[in-house]
Amino acid sequence: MSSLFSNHALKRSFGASSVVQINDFRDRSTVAVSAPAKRRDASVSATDLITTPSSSRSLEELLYEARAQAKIHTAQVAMHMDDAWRRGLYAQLDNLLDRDEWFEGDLPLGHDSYATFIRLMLLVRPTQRPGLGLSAQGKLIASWQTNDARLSIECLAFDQVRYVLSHHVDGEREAAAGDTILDRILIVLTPYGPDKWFTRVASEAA
Amino acid sequence: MSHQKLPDEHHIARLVPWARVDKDAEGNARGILAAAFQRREDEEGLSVNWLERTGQTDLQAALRATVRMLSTSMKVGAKARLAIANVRGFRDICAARDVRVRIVHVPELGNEPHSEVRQLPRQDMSLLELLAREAVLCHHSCGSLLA
Repeated sequence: MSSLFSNHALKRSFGASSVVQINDFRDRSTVAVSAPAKRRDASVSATDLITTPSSSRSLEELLYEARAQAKIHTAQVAMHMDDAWRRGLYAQLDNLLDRDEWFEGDLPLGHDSYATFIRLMLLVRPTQRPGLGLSAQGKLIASWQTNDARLSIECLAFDQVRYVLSHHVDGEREAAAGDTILDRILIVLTPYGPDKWFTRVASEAA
Repeated sequence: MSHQKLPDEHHIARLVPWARVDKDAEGNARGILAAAFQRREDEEGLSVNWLERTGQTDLQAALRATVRMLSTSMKVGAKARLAIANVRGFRDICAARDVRVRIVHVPELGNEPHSEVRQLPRQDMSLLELLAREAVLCHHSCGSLLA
């Protein structure tokens, strides 16, 4: 059987894929040592149990509740946010937690994950809102892209974050990923020049 | 049970729900997130569809047939996307990281072209990022394919 696409101009041609791997083991080990005492297994939280779909609540209700919880949480720190920024975030949440686009088996946004996301925003204070995605486990993924460089940060429970980034260096795509705690994210990202992804509010970035 | 391996020059399509589409702050799709290639813990392989197996003679027809087949067994949102990759390209990116994946035909009732990527580590996020950025040749909105 021949390929369907032999006569199609594909977006990119495939040569030998040359990739560079960077696993930031130093930072992983640092996390293990310096994690706060309250740290628990970030993969399973009380909120996950609460938001696990059950036969007693419809998906519609679960998504409504997830949106409402997120907006209430945001309102509690609204004094630290620009109004337009906050309204834009609400629109993104509505767009992300859309019943018509919901994938069977996905968990709704977990409150613990959203709390970590809000603390991330208050820490980094980006002038541009990130794009928002959601893992199948209900963890919010914030992403920024500049030219060909992308940074995604998955917000886990209890201020744990999982970053994934890729960019080109001397014509090679370099990718890196790791887990750390919120307070260290800017330090961990420093070698990759995080300012290319988020311009920060001047007073905080200084 | 032994499954047929997909030919190197053929193509696979991965259904990416809207939640795993990379979008800007205004909701415009700009790519596919690494999380789109993360199989669930209870899945043996990453589900994909073998495009050439649809029997269609051009790409758009193959994509439309794929979305229709997927729609018979699951809800496919209009903003979900089909991410297309070449079999060899996908495998080469994994091999460069010392990961030997097998891409095999695993037909399902109502979705005969269903296939799986086996032995793809679910926690190697930098590999999944490379697949999302380098293996994906193009991605198409399911809504436009169903229209």
